[in-house]
Amino acid sequence: MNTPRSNDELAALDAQLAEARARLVPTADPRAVASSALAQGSRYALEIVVGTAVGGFLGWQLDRWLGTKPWLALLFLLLGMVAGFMNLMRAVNREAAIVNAEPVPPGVAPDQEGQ
Amino acid sequence: MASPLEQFELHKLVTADVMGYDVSFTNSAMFMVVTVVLVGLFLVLGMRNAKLVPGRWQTAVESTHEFVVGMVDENIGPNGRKYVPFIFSLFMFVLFANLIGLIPFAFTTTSHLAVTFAFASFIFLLCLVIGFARHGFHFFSLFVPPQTPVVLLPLIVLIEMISFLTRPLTLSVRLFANMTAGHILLKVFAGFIISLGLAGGIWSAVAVLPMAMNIALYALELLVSVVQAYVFALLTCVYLNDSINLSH
Repeated sequence: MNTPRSNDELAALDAQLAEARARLVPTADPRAVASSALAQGSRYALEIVVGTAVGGFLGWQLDRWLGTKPWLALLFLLLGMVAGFMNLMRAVNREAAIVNAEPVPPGVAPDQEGQ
Repeated sequence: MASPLEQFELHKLVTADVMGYDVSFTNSAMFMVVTVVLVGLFLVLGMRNAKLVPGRWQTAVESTHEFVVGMVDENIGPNGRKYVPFIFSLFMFVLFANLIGLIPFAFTTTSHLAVTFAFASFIFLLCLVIGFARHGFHFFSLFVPPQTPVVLLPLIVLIEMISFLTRPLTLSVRLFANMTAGHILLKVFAGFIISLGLAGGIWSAVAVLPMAMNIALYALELLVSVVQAYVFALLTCVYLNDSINLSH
């Protein structure tokens, strides 16, 4: 069993192993994809809500210190909302970039993506 | 009929007072201890007589660990390896606390904002300390995304700062809200089963509907428990990554 092998043999074995692994994990498990989507979705939805709340709270505090009621509260409320949506936009753009960069699998007709 | 919120009440098991501060040992604290003990048992007993070809239990332990290592590698990179023990402990604690909470009569530690916020604020402070230790004042460049027009800079920096400050809150509220909402739903439907079942006649037969709903909800809650533990660990990785690698 434990006879020393040449590098060529090992390389061949590596290739075989890689091929076997690729066969074992052909596509992502749809349930795993769904869980991941649930995780992502709950993340960005909450960021919009909490971002707005934190922004509003910060502005409200600043108003109390600076006596500028109600302008800073309104401004920071908007900024917090923008922060939440900006995170969402970035995430969507990142996903879109990944999807666009993926090579089209053989057998699938190329569509008009990216025009 | 018991209130659906009763399950979140704290009871003092051992009353203690240190210099005017209430440090009583509550049911929540007890379930934290149970969680830690169970995580410890799961890991230690699973890795006892560790073999090159692992048995079922050892495989379970190793695959959870490898899952976390993979997550850290993917999100932080080679510099993140030394944070694996921290993230792994965090993931295991939250996962076990969530799952233990699903056992009837058990208390869900993670359904209290105080607990999840304590975790989240510790992670937030850790990110700040690591960020400033590694990058000094250059860490503030986190608030300046690349290729920002100078005109927009003050606005963007302000938005980025608010977004950064929301991190401990989003991290804690997500876990707390998911666990609390799920447990309230379970309890409300369980209440329907009892009251319909006791109503007699045709109503007792209708009690099957909330029963079916509760079984489905329980399955959903199992999924939510695992997903939320995963998200908690994942976001910790993402936040640590900003401190360690300072990508933008």
